Amino acid sequence: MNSTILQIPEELMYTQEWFAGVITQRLGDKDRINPISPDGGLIAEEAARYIVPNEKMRPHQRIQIYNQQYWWRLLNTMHTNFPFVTRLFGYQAFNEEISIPFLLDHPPSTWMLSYIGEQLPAWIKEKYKKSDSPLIQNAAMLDWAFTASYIAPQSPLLDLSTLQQGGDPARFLSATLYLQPHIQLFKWDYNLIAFREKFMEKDVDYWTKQSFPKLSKLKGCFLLYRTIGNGISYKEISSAEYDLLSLFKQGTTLEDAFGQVEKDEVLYNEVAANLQAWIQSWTQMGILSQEGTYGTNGT
Amino acid sequence: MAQKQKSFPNLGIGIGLRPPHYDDIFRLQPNIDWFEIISENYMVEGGKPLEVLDKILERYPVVQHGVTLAIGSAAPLDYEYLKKLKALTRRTKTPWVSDHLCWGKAPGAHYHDLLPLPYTREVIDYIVERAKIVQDYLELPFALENLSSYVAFTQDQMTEWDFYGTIVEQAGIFMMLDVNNIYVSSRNHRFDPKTYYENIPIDRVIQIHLAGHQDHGDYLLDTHDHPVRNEVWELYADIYPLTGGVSTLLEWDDNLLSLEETWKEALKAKEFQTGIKNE
Repeated sequence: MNSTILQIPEELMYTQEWFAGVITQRLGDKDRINPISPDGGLIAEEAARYIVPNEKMRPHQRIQIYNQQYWWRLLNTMHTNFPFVTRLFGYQAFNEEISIPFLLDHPPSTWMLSYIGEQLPAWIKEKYKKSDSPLIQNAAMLDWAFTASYIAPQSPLLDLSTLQQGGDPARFLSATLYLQPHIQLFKWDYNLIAFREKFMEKDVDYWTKQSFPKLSKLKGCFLLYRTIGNGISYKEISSAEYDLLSLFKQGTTLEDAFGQVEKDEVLYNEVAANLQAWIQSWTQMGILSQEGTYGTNGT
Repeated sequence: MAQKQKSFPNLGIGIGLRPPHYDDIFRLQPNIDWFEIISENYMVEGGKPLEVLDKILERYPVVQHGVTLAIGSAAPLDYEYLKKLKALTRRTKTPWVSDHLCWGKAPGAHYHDLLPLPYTREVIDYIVERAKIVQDYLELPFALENLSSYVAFTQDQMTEWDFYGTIVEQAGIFMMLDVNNIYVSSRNHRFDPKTYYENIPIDRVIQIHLAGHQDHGDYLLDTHDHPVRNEVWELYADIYPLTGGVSTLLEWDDNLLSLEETWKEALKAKEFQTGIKNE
């Protein structure tokens, strides 16, 4: 059952290494294959060693089809996974300034096409240095949050009645609570989710011709979550709710959470005054669990 | 017809399950014979994809078709992938599992394409062993699909049909025969499609794919974004009766039609199943 004992044919390995190097190389002028191969030779000469011509196409023209398909498929996936960022840039600028350099730095390493772009927010922070970088990074994080929420697992929902059985408050306070893996929390100086919704009403080409709407500066905290019906929705929350929910990401008891927030009197008072209502609301929304499987996609 | 093939149910005509059709499927509950899913789209831990799949399974047979096994890659088989694939087969109760006779990954890299293999004896030996492992591991009949291809290698020692037929026979696996791919490759590599289907072990065909393609002048490109071309329907009319009747699926992946239009296009297959060409 162990495939490592199988002998990989050497010629197959070398052919595939060469083929992969050629098709993943950035496309050249007018989306044609780069005339220089990754090894620095002429692609027309190199390709003829591996590929036979036919009456209409030379060997490098034939492998060019795969080179184009590789890039076009990945760029399309980036458009799908980052629809808001694509609208902020337009197709061409998004490809040239973001997608292509990102994919050259992070070629796909997983069989899940939908995971392509998982590292984009971090890449933008490190490599994209224009003045709008913070906004673009937040937009990429938000786009990715939608994908991550869509496919995240669901932990068993918190059952309040079980925790409240016997009327013993200690039982409730000492239970470790976790955020559901599909929950994403954001704290911004603007409502980027509403801004994104506005952009999503029109297609990419529309926004390349139109002025952008004004992004109102209004500090706020937001909770992105998957609804019981498996749609993606969001809710504006208070700063205190944000702080408390952030503690549940890695799992904590209410007792310990209180210990954390009591260092800040204002925060503590707000939590103490609202906790019961919040717990009820979070339970109804299905965003808490007693089982911790929070993934790496949380913000 | 070989005994083996008789043990596979003919599910009728199916279409690929695609997210833009979800709402219409649940609202209209159409009498579609069966759905094919791209396995990888549902090999997730939860969320919308699995919720939809479970609802589909309540009413329709589902067959799994994969795109990233990469049986011919010069890289070890990925048992994490196979484990997830097998878990999904338990959920779907798929009667068989298929993927492509191709490569598409290297250690640490995935190319997300169905890349062509050199047709050599040593590649056959390599893939036969791996295909046996996959079929044993999954504990289900395993079928490989022929590709649309755009290159031929200087190393080639045989034709595609000899390569394909030898692998499925020696590995004891099955054929997912893509009729559009035979046609596309016949034009790109200048062979007679009839020679292809007359020289494969047709009794090992357990499912057929149909799809549309684009004509780029110098070559045909398999795109799944157009209606099935007449030449492909004619080829289907020749091949289908030889199989004794197997499950047939229309693949449509880009520039999607409505659910109703997709199903209407798929149903055209019935007109060609008796071998009579409606010209």
